[in-house]
Order: sequence, then C-alpha cells, then structure tokens
Amino acid sequence: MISVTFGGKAKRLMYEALNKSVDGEGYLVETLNPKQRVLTKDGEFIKPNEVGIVRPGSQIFIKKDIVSLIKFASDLI
Amino acid sequence: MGFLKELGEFLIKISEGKLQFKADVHFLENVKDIKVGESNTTYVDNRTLIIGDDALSNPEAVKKLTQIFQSAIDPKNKQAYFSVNNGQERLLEVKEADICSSNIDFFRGKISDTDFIILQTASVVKNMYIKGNQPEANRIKHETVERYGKRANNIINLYAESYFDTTLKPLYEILYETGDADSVDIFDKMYRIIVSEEVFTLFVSTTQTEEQVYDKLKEKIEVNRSYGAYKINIHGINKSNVDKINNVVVKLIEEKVVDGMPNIIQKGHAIMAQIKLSKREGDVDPSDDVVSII
Repeated sequence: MISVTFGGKAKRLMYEALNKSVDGEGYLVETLNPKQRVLTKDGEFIKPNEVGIVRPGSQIFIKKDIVSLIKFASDLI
Repeated sequence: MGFLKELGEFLIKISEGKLQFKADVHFLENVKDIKVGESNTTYVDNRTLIIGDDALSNPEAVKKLTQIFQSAIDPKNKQAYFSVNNGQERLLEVKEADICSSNIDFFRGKISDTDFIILQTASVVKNMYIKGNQPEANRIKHETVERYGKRANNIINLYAESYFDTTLKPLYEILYETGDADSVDIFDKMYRIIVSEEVFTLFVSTTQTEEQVYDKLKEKIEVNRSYGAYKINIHGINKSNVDKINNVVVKLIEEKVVDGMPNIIQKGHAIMAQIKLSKREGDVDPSDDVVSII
C-alpha cells in the first residue's frame, strides 16, 4: 500500500480527488451533496485541519489525534 | 493500468523542458511513498516520489493528477491511502510504540475501554521519551490529558514508571490466583484507587518549586495513610528535580514523618526515593504488601 502525503497547496488537490468541499461552518461535505457532512468512523463531523489519514477504498476519514490513530492502527494489526 | 505507472508516465511526459524530474517508469515501480506539494521541485529520493509545486503550476496538470489520485483510492483499486497534517508520521509513531504488545494487551477487558486506549497512548508517549523526542511526547500527553482529564495524566505517569508491568499486572495475577469470586472486583477497586489518586507515587516536575513538592507530598502522605498505605515512591528526572526530592526527603526525616532512611535509587539525573511513613496512633495497620491497601 502506497502512502500519498499532501502538503501546502496540494491539500486542496486531495479534497478534490475525494470529491469533498468545505461548508460555511468549516466542515467537510460531499461536493455533489453539500448538505451531507463527512463523518468519521466514530460518527463525528470533521474539519480539514483535523484530518490525518483517509483510508483506502472506502474514504473513511481518520482524525489526526492520537486516539483516532491508535484505533486505526489497532484495526490494521 | 496501475495508478503509479500512470502517474510516472504523466510526470515524465510533462517533465520535458519543464521539470527537473528524471526517472523512468520501471524505477518508479519501487516507490512506496509519495509526497505532494511539500517541495518546489519534482524528484525521486530513494523510494519516495516528491511531486513539487513545479508540477502543480499548470491547471491542466493539476486536473490530471487529481484524476490519477482518484483512481488510486477508488474502492476497486485500494492502491494507496492519503495522509495530511502529519497523519502519516503520527501513524508511524503509533506503530513503533507496539500498542498491542503482550504487556499492554494483558489489560484489555480488565480495565475500561477508555483506560485501555489511554494505556495505549501512554506506550506511544513513553516510546517518544525513549527516542529522545520530548516535545512530541509532551504534545501527545497534553492532547490526551485535555481529552480525558487528570486520570489520563496519572495513567501515563504510572505507565512511564512501569507500574503497569511491575505492580498492577502482578497484582491482578495474585488476586486471580486466589480463585475467589470477588477477585476481579477487588482488582477493579484497587486499580481505581491507584489510577485516580496515583496512590503510591509522586512525580516531581520541573515546574514545581521545592515548597510545592513538600506540600504535595504531605498531602499525599495523608491520603495514603487513610488507605493504610505507608510507602510512597517519589520520582523525578533532571538535576533540579533530584535536588528538590533530596531536600524534601531530608526535611521529612527531620520532622520524623518518615520512618528510617529512604531507599534511594539514583542514576544520573533520574531518582526514585521510596519512603516509609512512621506510624501514628490510630493508623490503619501498615503492611509491606501492596494488596493490603484496600
């Protein structure tokens, strides 16, 4: 599995590739359905600066905080 | 076509006279990491492909790259995962810490799910300290305490001093071996006391003055007496903390709060002083056995 890290202006490219936009309150939404906010696996809304990992295939958003990453890593092990 | 091959061919195509990028498609097959937008120029460094701003200046190129990355994360392909905001680096930190080691996993189901995740976090923090990355260790600790409160601070400190391995795990095993029906409940009760009060241990930080350490220790002594616990371990790292601990212990000996000379283990700028409290009239019977605290 190849990791693709986006930094600087390229972060926007990542969200475009995922068909995601940001709503008026700063949360990620589906570009094709802006009323539909993106949910994490824990059922939380998420802002672009909170994203750490986007899981392959399923577009599951993992927050960058340590607890979210531990849960994600535990699933992988 | 795999997305990596398509990506390589595209970069080679647009590199003509525009990019400094020099690589062939076969070479790119060894790439394991791709970093986009973190550099001015596009190049390959060992197994990392760096796509610089030079490849992103043309709107048409950005559009094509977007399409390629879309295919990479397509449910049918699952060839890549995306990372942003240092997510990849932090994930590696988590994996390095061995959060599912046997010593950690021992406590799965024996403590609450919340405490278990804090314990896993504690292993990441400890690993950061061992690697000498104190700023990152402090950042993770701060983030966890902010989320779970003082309890998280206690668990992280107890784990850092190996209390889960050296005290809590043997405690569970001793209780479990008794075969008594209430042994799990007793462990749970003792565990909660230890974790909520850090009952055996005082950790001295550089932000505390000597007077504050003295006051905190006196406070802990009274709490411990109420549990019938007459031993306290005082931990500190850094020369200033070692000096503070030594001075406070001397003062407590002079005040006859401490019974006899403390057992001090000191290595470099790390110290653990184990003090035994002198008995007062009306105290609960003291015992050397940790199990006696309930």
